[in-house]
Amino acid sequence: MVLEDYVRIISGVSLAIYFTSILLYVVRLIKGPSIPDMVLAIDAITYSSITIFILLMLILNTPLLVTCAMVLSIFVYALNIYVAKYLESREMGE
Amino acid sequence: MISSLILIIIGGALVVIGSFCSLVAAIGILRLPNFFTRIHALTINIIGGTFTPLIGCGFITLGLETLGSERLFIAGGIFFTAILIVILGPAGSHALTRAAYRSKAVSFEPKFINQLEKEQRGD
Repeated sequence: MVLEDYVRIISGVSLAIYFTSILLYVVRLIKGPSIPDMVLAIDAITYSSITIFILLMLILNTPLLVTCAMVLSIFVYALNIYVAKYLESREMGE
Repeated sequence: MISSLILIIIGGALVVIGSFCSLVAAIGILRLPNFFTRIHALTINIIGGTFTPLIGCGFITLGLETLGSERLFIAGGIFFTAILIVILGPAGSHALTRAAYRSKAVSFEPKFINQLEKEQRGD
């Protein structure tokens, strides 16, 4: 029982810190002067939300959230590659 | 019992390190002056803020016996996601930086030195 309380306290405090950092990333997403800055902010938001899904899974005991995290980690890579291809040759690969 | 205690304490320490790295990366992305310095803060977020707490959460789920036999499935998924991130994250951010440099979509100010430009000019 003590171990569960320890896990719950650490997960709760870390969740608060991750939500705070997502708020700071949103400021950069609105302020960003060019397209790569906005993409960078979206990357950071998605990486933080992967960790938030895993921490929520520890608190709520719902194993299906692991699948969402897996899909998100591939989505970020696809977004990076698409934006890089668009910036370098001015076309989306069709 | 002892092994689960050790696993949970190590996992909790890794999660705390990860949340600290995430806060540092957020301040860096908000305050650094240039795109090529902000991408450094993004990679702090990738490795320190996502990979480390995911490994920690995997250790925690392996140690928590109250989750039942589903915890092996959860830990396998978490470790797979962590390996995926540590391979694909730096590759993706490097591709983004290379494209932003070649297409001149970002400004260089303030610039102290640009060694690549000198080499391409042939000095």
